[in-house]
Amino acid sequence: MHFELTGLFNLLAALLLAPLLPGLINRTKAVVAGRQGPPVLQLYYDLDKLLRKGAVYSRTIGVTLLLAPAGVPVVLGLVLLLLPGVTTTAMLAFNGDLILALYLLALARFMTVLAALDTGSSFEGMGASRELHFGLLSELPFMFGLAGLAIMSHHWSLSQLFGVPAEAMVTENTAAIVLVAAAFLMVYLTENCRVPADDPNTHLELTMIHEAMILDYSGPDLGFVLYGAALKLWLVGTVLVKTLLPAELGPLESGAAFLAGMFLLAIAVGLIESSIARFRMLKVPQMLVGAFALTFLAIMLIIVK
Amino acid sequence: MIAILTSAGLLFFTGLFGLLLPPRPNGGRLALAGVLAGGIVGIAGTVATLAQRTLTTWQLPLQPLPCGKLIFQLDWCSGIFLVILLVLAMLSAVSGWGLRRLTKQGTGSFWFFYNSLIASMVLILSAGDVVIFLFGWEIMAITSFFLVIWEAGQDGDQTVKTGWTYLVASHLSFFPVLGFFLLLSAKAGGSMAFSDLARVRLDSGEAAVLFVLALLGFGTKAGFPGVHVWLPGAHAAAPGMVSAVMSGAMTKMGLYGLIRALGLLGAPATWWGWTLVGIGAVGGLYGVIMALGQSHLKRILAYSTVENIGIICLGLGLGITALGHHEYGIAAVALTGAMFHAVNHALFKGLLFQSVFAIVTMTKEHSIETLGGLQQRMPITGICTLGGSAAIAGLPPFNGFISEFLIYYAAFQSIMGNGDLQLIGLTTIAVLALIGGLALVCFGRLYGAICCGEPKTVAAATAQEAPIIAALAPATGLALCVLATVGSPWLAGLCWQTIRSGLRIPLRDETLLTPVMGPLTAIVLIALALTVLTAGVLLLRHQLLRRRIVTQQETWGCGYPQIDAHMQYSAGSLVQPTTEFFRPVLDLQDRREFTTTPGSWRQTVNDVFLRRVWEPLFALIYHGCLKLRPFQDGRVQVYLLYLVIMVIALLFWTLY
Repeated sequence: MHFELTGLFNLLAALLLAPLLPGLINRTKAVVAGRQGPPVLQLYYDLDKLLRKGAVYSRTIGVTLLLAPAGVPVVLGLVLLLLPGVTTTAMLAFNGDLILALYLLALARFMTVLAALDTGSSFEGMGASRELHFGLLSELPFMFGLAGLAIMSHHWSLSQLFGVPAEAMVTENTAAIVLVAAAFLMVYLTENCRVPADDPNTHLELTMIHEAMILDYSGPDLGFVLYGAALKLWLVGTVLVKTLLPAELGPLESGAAFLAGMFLLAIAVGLIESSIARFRMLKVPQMLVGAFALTFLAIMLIIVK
Repeated sequence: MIAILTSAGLLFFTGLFGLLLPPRPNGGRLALAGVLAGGIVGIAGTVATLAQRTLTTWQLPLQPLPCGKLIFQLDWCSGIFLVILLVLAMLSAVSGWGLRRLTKQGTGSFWFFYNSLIASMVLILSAGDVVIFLFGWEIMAITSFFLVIWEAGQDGDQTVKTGWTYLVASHLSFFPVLGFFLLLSAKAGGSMAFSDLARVRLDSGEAAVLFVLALLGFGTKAGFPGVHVWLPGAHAAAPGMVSAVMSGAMTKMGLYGLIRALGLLGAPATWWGWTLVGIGAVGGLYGVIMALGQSHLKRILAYSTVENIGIICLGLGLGITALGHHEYGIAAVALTGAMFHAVNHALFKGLLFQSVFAIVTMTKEHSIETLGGLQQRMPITGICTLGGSAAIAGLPPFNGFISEFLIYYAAFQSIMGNGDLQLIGLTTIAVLALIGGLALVCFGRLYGAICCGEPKTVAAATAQEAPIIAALAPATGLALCVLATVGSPWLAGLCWQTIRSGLRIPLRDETLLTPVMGPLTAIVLIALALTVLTAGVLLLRHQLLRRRIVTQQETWGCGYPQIDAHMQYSAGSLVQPTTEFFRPVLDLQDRREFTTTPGSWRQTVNDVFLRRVWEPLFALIYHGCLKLRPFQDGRVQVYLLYLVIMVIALLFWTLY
């Protein structure tokens, strides 16, 4: 178990900069569509407004709707302790921390789904049902992709996984890394409710997953949940960006490259959202199984050498 | 001391005999006292004996007996299983006692069977020779049969049929176990003592046959896929507190038998590990997919037991393969994870069954589709169900995550190598990830459909909290789960001792588990941070909302004025995408009724093994037996003719 105080920069960067990502995505979509669009700092303004409001609660709820808005950002924030980012080592590193990180994400999902079911509404139920199904299918490529990176780098702590040496990347493992990155992109789009898996703009039945599950939150609760969603964008994005960054960079360069990568990823997601339509609901599981197939292929390529 | 252990067993017997005589409630009180006292004495005796860190044996001082020496023994393996059994037995007894006024279980005869069941399992665990082991095994089967059919009042026929299936399965599995012990005993020169059986030298062919016999016999009791078909019915038909003991402890008897068998068989062959991993993968996946499709609450939990036994087998298989490759570090972690999961499963499955028992008793509804909103009406039971669901889905900060983490750890370590072990590691990771996701679906559905939302029936709307004694039992179980997380580094060491002594692994290296202690401590720290920070955020919200307007309204319904409880997502519709996804491997039956008001859609998930394998097999046997019908003429003259023919045949046989 390794405790690294410089990882604090990582944590602070994530906590402060995560709400920028949804702003960037929305701004990109607006620019592509020829509109002015909301300011990049919009989520900060929204959080400020929501934290100053009162709240309305449903009469049907038990305890989960009260616990989830508090629990979800805390859980996602704890994953930040384990993930590297701006710094190359996370604040807390140990062998197998990737398992804890993935299962903390699953815990966040569990809380969100139960809070959704707590309201007794068919909208939230629909979102919960789809979230459970897609979550189960996206966990597999995520785990397997990280396993592939582990085999490549001979380490299985998140702070050491992502350091594939540059020459090895270009000569031996290029195909494997590209496949894993593609799979991670599909998981990223599904987990963060982006087109083509889900449409973050609407609450309509066709696209009811993440947006639908938070219909009955209000005031500070909604603020916490939106902040948690931004943190999740940052977290899953970190995994994707770090996969593609080489290991040879010095500490300052890797930090700068990482931040640039995160913002470029946000812009890329905005471009993807502007250019393709949402998939039919039945095709999203197929996409996720495809992501698993890609990671499976990547691992086969690494092993059979 | 062994004396204390046998006294624990005897206490149970006095508990049970004492209550056949006095009138009704006193019999039950005496038996409950017997369970609690026997449990405490047993646990105290075990802890005292294990503290001396040696194998203790005790021979029954009645010599000579026709069945050989009767030996009792206690080592780490039996000790830990004993502690789990006794804790679960005590908690279930308290839960059943608390609800006795609302169920048929106040009577003395019920407690007779319950106490005998626990006593028989104590016998199995403290057996040092084959005779006591099999004696306990048989008593366990018979007493649990009576407990399974105990509530045969309402839908009597179905319950008794389930009981018969259970009894037949128990006895069919008895033969491989008997065969295993007799073959081994024959090689050991006729001795029945475990210590003599352990010294037998086997070649690979004999070991293979014995391994298969052990898998069949003990695997049926444990709930391996394929031979699990008795499990859902039996665990669903039995009263809730008995199901808790059956799922949490009886399946562990099968596991204990398998571990002992593997220990007696010596060094494992490589294909044993692959077989166990295969069984674990199929069992884990099949169990959880079936669980998320059931609508009877106890059947969900029963299939989930099949899933968890599958996870334990995965760990066992990985560990045994690693042993074969001399990767002792990986083996230690994997086997520890498997054993830890066995302990955890007893805790959280017991707690879930006790909560469900309370719910079913208070609302008289046993279907997941007719409940809802119980968290508001049964707060303590609701919290216990929530904690149990999170634990069994393997989520941090509960103990289910810790044991799965250990198996993952071993799997990740093995994929760093190459060859056989790497492939098993990859399979384990993939299967565990999928099982984890599916378990989340299953238990999100369970808690969501029964405790969240609006109640769907009057019974659920007017439900009241269970009597405080009955509600405390699962709460204690939940507290133990939390303790298991916080004390996981220590408990992991204990589990390693257990499985090392059970499998008779000759490793003296005490540092095999040190690499995993750091991660476990980190996990415990994160769990604590999670609790503290969440409490902090809750406090922050409370402060923010203190001087603001906070109101309560109906759930937003898009302006529709006549929202009712049936507009919610039901349990079946919640998992419909998942069951549709797995349609090729499931036996789904959809019944739609759209022409009446109200319309309905019902999906039944049937057991593939039952419908496609076992029922045709038994139908075949039945038709074969029908062909022998003409021989049963019914007339005495014909039977006498058979006797004469047989005697003449025997005469010729002895002469030549």
